[in-house]
Amino acid sequence: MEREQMNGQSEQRDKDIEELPVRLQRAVGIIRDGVDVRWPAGHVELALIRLQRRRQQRRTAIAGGTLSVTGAALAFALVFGGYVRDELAASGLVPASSSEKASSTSSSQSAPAPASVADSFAKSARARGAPSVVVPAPFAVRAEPPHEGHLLQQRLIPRRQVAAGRWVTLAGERRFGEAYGLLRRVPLRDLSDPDDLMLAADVARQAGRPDRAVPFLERVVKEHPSEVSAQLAGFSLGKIYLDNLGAPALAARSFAAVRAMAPGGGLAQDALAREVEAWSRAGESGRARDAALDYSRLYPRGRRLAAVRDLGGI
Amino acid sequence: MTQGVIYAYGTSMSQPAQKPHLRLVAPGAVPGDASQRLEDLPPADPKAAVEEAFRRYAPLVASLGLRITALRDDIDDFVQEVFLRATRGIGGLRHQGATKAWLISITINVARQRLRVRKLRKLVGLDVPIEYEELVDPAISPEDRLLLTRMYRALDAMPVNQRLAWSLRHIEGERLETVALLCGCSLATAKRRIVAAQKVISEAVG
Repeated sequence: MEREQMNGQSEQRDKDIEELPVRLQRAVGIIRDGVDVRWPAGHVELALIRLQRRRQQRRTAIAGGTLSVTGAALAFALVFGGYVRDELAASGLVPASSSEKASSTSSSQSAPAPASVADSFAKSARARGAPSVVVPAPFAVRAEPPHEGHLLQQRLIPRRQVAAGRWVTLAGERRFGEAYGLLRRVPLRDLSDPDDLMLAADVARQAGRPDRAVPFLERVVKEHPSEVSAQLAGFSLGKIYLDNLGAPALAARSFAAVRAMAPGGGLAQDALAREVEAWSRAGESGRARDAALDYSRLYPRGRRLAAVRDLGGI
Repeated sequence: MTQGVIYAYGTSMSQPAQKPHLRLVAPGAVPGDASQRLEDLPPADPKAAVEEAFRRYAPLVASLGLRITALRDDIDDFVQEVFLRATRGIGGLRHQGATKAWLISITINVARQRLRVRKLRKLVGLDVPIEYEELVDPAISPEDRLLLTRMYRALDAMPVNQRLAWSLRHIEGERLETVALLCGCSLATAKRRIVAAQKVISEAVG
């Protein structure tokens, strides 16, 4: 009886799941048909570049965090290490350092303290009438006397090393001014990964120094032409030449390079449109026209067709 | 029931209600001859595998995430989060054919997390209201847009697990077994969640 009742409840539940009221069916239909993501051409590639950069940022953030923890541990050891060692020595858990022994020996000549565990072992053995024992070298290890300035030496971490670990973290926190300040201390040769170079270019641009982004972007294009980042770097380079540095001819060549790298890539259409604009601004009306004709042929329904025709004079 | 079972995709996610997308297969029982097909092999280069998966499935992940969470402004970030998680685990995939199903399960987990965070933000008054009407084409009638808004508000009001179960069942058109699998619960629990959610939505939408 009880089992039948349970089966009945289960069947009713299945029926409830399957049957949607009419208005609800309509609402579901609206969501299915209307709520969707339509990414424009090339968006996937750009999103992939962002993913690669974010992955890199996460890795460097972890590295930065490790560096910070290590630094904090080092600072703690510098500040409290001596205190802890003294406390342990006082409680007899570790042998006292030689400087401490020297002071204790001079202050109480009548009752000299054993120099080490090995010494005390040898003395007690002699007192028991045992034959003299030569203490092997490892037992006779003594603390090195501190030399002047050793603490200072431990604190010295090369500034360049700190800058290399920190600028990425600051960039991730969108503190571009500070990140750029540190980035300037990092030698250009230390950056070789395309993601690092792209990030460095971004930092320079966001810090208001687009001219300093140029070397980073040029290196991405030259050293990693097969990477997807190279297309984005070439496009950014063109924009900087065109919009910030007033060098439209260089800009046009950069945009042309983007197209050459990936003629069917997501940036090709925009690069060609910007190339027309750049040649037009450089006063090269013939080249602007040729590029505009290319655009009309390749993208007859292109987003920028009207502007391209206008700039190319066709 | 859910443990020790792997799932494989049959048809495209672009036609939600027509056919079930996932089918359950016994552990180790990979369809066909496993030694003969490239997709049954584990990915050779995890980084390249993630990039390939991104190119193929990022739009799908974005659409699924948007329909379930309705967080339009964060959808790019959502996709990035899914694939960042995928980066960490793709090396452990036994065969490439499971990539899509595996990405869907990550998408559901990320959606669950985002919805919970949003609920928490709402609780402390930090939530930014979402204009649900903007999720669809402006050409859609005002009545339908109102219906959509009511629907998503009702979904917002219910517990996240109920919302996920109901969305997977009715919006994505998944089979109940698949819903249970993706939600990480038993079949009975999945059914209970769907019924509870449906009651709330029916009252809200009318």
